[in-house]
Formats: sequence, C-alpha cells, structure tokens
Amino acid sequence: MDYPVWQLWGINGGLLVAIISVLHVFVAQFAVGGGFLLVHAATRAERAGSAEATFWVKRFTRFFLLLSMVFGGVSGVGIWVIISLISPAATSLLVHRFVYAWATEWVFFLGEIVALLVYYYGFGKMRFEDHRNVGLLYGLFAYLSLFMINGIITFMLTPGAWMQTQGFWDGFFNPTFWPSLLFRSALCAMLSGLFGLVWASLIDDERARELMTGVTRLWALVPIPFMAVGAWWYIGALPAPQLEMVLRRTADIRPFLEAFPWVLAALMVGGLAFFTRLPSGARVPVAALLLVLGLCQVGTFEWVRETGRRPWIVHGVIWSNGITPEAGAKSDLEGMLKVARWSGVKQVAEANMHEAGRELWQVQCANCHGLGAPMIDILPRIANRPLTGVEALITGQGALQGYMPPFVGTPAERRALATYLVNERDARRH
Amino acid sequence: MEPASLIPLADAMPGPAWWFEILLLLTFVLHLLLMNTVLGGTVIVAVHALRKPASEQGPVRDFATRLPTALALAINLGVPPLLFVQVLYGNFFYTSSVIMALWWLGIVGLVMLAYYGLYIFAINHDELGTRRIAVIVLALLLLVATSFVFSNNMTLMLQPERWLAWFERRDGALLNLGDPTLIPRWLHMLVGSIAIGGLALSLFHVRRASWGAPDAAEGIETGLRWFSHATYAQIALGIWFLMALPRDLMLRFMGGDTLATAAFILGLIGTALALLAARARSVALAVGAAVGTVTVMAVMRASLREGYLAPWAQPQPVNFVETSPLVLFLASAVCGVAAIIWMLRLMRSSRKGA
Repeated sequence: MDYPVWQLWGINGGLLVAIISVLHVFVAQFAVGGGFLLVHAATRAERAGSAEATFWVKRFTRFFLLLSMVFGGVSGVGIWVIISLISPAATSLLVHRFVYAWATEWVFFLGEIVALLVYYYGFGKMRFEDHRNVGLLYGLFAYLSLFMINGIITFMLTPGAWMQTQGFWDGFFNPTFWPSLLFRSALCAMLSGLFGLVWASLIDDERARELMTGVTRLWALVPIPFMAVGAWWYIGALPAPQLEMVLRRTADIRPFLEAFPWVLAALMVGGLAFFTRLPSGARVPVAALLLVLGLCQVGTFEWVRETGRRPWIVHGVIWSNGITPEAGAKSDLEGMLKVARWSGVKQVAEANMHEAGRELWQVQCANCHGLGAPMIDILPRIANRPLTGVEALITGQGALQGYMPPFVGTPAERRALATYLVNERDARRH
Repeated sequence: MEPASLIPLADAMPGPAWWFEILLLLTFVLHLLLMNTVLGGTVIVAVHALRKPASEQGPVRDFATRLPTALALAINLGVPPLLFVQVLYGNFFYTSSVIMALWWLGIVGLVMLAYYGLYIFAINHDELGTRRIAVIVLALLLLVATSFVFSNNMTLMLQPERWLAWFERRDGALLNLGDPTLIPRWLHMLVGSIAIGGLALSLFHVRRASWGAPDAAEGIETGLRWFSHATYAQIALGIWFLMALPRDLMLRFMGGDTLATAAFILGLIGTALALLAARARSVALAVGAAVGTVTVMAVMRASLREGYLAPWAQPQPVNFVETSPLVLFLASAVCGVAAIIWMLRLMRSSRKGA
C-alpha cells in the first residue's frame, strides 16, 4: 500500500509474473539436473571410447550454455524485475530478510557460469579427470543455487517458526524446505533426463545413440519414485490452513490436483516402455511427448504450491495484493484511500465514487484480477449482480471466499469500489 | 501532493548501512567494468564492421568472439549491486521502477536479444556475409537502449519530486526525460564504456601477444586509440555533466564534501595517468589507472546519490544483526572464488599444453 500500482491493460500483474516464472522454472530446473547428467554421459562416452557420443555431449553442453546460462540467467533476473514491479512490498521483505541467501545464491550462480564455460571450452583440451571435476563443480553449483532459492520459495508458503522468531534460519529451513528440496531435486533430474532423451534420440550414429539414450533414460526414470515420495511428504508437511486451501477451498485447482498422479503415472509407464519397444522413427516424438508431460508436472506443481499460498504472497505476512494485515486494520479505521500513499483520491464523496473506486480497484484487486482481461476476469463474476450484490460479494472476501484477501477500507469505500465495477461493466455492455 | 508523503517506509536491514554501501560499491565496480567492456566493445566491433571489409577486421573480430561470454558475466555481476541497492534504497528504487515499469521490464528482453545477437555475430561471422553488420548494429542498439533505461531509473529514483508525473500517466511508460542531468549522465556512461571497451581490446591482445599471435600488436594499438579518443571526449562530457547538476550537488565535488572532492581529484589524476600510460603503450598501467578511476567514479556516484537523497531523509527502522547468514555468504564467496580460480588455472594450463 506504500507503492504506486502499475496500471496494465489487457493483462494483469499476476499473469505476467506467472508467464515469466514458468518459463524460467522450466529452463532453470532442467539446468540444475543437467550438470551431473552431462558428467555421467561424458564418462560413459569416454569409457565406451565413442567419439560420436563425446561429440554429442559437447553439443548438448552448448545447448546448456545458450539456453540455461543465458535464457535461464536473464529470466531469473526477469522474475526479480517483475515481482518488484507487481509486488514491491513483498519483494522488499524477501530482499531484506534474506539478503545473504540471495547473495549466496548469486555466488553459486557465478560459479555455475564459470564452470559451464570452462567445461564447454575444455572439451578435448583438458585431462579427462580434470574436465570431469569441472563438470561436477558445475553440477554442484547449479544444485546449490536450487538449495538456496528453495529456502526462500518455501518460506513464502510456510514461514513456520519465523512468524514468532523472525530468525533467518527459522525462515529458511521452514516446514516444507526438505520435502520441497527432495521433490524439486527429483524433478530437476527427471527434466534433464527428458530433455536429454529428445536430444539423444536425434543422434545419427547408432552406437552413440543407444549409449546416450541409456544414460538419459535412466535420468528420466530413476527420479520418478523420489518425486512421488517428495510430493507425499510435502503434502504431509503443509500446515492445516495451507493444506485445506489446496484440498478443499479452491474448486478451480481441482482438475490440476486430480491430474497430477495421472500425469506422473503416464510419464513413468511411457518412460519404462520406451526404448526396448519403439522403432527408431517413433522415438523423437515420444520423447518430446514425455518432455511435455514432464513440463506439465512442473506447471501443476507450481500451480498447486501457489494456490496453497492463497490468499498470501508470504503466508500470514503479506496478502496477495501486497497489503499487510496491519495496513488493512488501519485502512478499516481510517479509510484505505487515506492510508495508501499513492492514491490520487483521498476520501470518498458522492461526486467521486467512480474515481475513488478505481483507486481501490488498482490497489486491492488489479494484481490478481482482469477487468475484461485474461486471468480471473471480474466481469463474469459480477455479470448479473446489482450494486448491492456486488457489495455483498466484496464483503464476503476473506470469509466466504477464503482464497481472497479481505476487502480493506470503510463501508463508503466498499460502495465506491462496487460502483466503479458496476459502471465499468455497464459501460462495456453499451 | 507532497512528494515526501509518497516515499514508502524503508524496511530494516540485517546489518549497518555502511556495510551494504561497501558491498554495493565493490560489486558495482566489477559489474561496471564488465558491462563497459561489453557495451564499449560492441561499439568498437560495430564501427569496425561498418567501416572496414571483413578481411581487415582481424584483431577486432577475435575480440568480438569473447563478447557473449563477457555479457553473460556482466549480467551475473549485475545481480549483487541490484540486490544491495534494493537493500539500501528499495523504497526509492521500487517506486521509480514502477513509474517506468514498461521500460524497466523491457531490459530483460533487450539484454537477452543483445546476447543472442552478439553470439550469432561471433559464431556465424563469415556465413552471415554483409548481414552481420545488421546483426551487430542491432545488438549495439539493444545494449544502448538498455543503458538509457538504466540511466533513467537511476536518476528517477533520486528525485521524488519527479514522481508526481505518475498521477498523469500510470501505465509505466514514463521516463525521466525532463531531468537536465539525464543526457549528460547517460553519455558520460556510454563514452566511458567505449574507453573501457578500448582498453579491454588492448588487454585481450596483450594476452594474445604472449602466445605470439601475429595481429596482436595491431589489436593493442587499436584498443589504445579508442581508449584515448573516448577519454578525451569523456573530459568534455564530464564537465557538461558536472555543470548540469543542481548547484549544491555540483559543489560537493568542489570542496563541499571532503570524500566527494577527494574522489574527484583522484579521478582526474587517474584519468591523466591512464592517458599517459596509453601514450607510452603501457597497457598494464593504463588498465590499472582506469580501474582505479572507475572505482573513484563509483564513489563519486554514491556521494551524488547521497546528496540527492539528503533532503528526503526518512525515519529509518532499527536495523538488526544476523551473523550466521553473513558467515554463510562470506564462506560461499571464498569457496566460490577458490573454485573459480582453480578452474581458470586448469583452463590456462590446458591451453599452454595444447
């Protein structure tokens, strides 16, 4: 409530965050598992004395360089940029509370980049053992950056004892840290295996292809039971409110929740049945399909996690619209327009209901809701309601609609918001 | 509306402000040197691609192959100053970022495209034919645009009185164009980058000369020429920038503030030393003097920021101290740097063996 709100047209902030994050997570997780996979593949190629397989590993490494180092690295900064634009107060909290965790993650990221560059340019130039050790360092650094970011992401979902102590380690090693780490580690390994499987299926030389297919298939398959254990542990570690949010209170995530084990099973069966039975021509499309299923896993998992966190950005600390319960309580007493620094209207009056409502919409709703725009469009939700009905809907926020933060502000402000919404809806009808 | 009432409250920091200022300064200098190498290097490569046939671009063309890697590292080293500026000045920085959100978010795409442009230019140089000129010029424009967006945000965050424009336009499309210091400050950075880019070119060829590369001497010469010319232009631009500053801020460098004045004098000495070293063809000395100059310029920049923000002093929350996370960071930094040195040594020894 301290910051200006970026007024977007045609898309809302939440959707922008989601798009950039999902793209980053796909690529970054694949890169995290990929470090060790590269070393494994290179070692197998060396032992088998297959120059073609070694050449393939080098080309696969270049793919990492171009996709994971650059796209992954820049989109990672992109997440930072977009969350600071959409949720500056929450970003500020995460930065200030975990500055050394971020800084440590940066060190690991730097190590990861240097190791990847040395590994790529060192192919065929270094002693095999040295080259392998550099590859292992790459894998280790990549994994450690996951370790660090995992602490911050899980803190947002389950701050745990931090709520009482405000201590760094209580926040970092929070109730879902370890199950999430297990799940994500397995996910990263599986994704790198699936990416590798597609690439390995394209190798011309039959011996090299079979060799690399064997390696990547192993990486795609072995993590799957660990993912299942991780998911089960994760669910078990969720405190009651988050679990309830995931399981019961949101109807809109049910399809994802129910699809999750099926997608997992499909992956497992597909992976198992894979190479012993398929003709070579069918391998690439099947591998690609498996990869898409794997990405669906990522999408589902992230979606469920985000939903479990509703209606908070940091559970119990900052609501998803960036307002803290303290600022909310103050707004209920004094009026949100007065409390919000960047509101152009400071008080509701008969003459400024629409303008005041627009300010309230921007501060409290626009982060998650579209207004005739994609993602949780508000217009269908108020389509047939009179002004009092829209007001009733707003009153129910945070109680009847527990996945939403409560409306904060005075009754006059609630009426102003309802007026604005009804006006906007009616203007679009004419 | 009072601009002061718009400034969000600062969050408490896990340590004293001076400590984060030091971290910010150190990491910013590293980022600046690499970023200048990429930006200035791309200017040099693009100008050579435009003016000379492919056959005459030997030393610059080899240098161009290193730019994508330098950009990847520059982006990486941009992360810690971005982190520490948020710790110290988040309430100013987030606000200005939202005001110009469209442009600020745009840098993500600009930098990514610039990287791929530099990469395509380096890898497919010969296959591209004359299209390589379009590729490198495009990459350059993307980097220049990024630098302009940065200059806008870094000046806008310091001037809450300019934030009022947001009430007229809330779609994030604003820039800080009304600020008279914007253009000289940006040009000062841009031309400074060309100078550092020239030195980086020379340094690159000093290493190649030690391996006996035939065009290394020409590369060293070309780089020093770019450095000297850009630095002479930089003196004029620096004066323009200084004159464009509000009077009280300008006077900080004229005795008003001891640290700022000392940094200014050291900067002038460093610049003169670097120019003399360049004339004497001593690349190592020129690089040393330039790195020192960039460091004191970063101190001047920090002092200027302090001057800008002085009238907007906010009630500071009580900072807290957390030792063990700091130890984690320092330990990871020591191990990380050790691992990096080890890997680079391996790389070097494998090159020598090859």
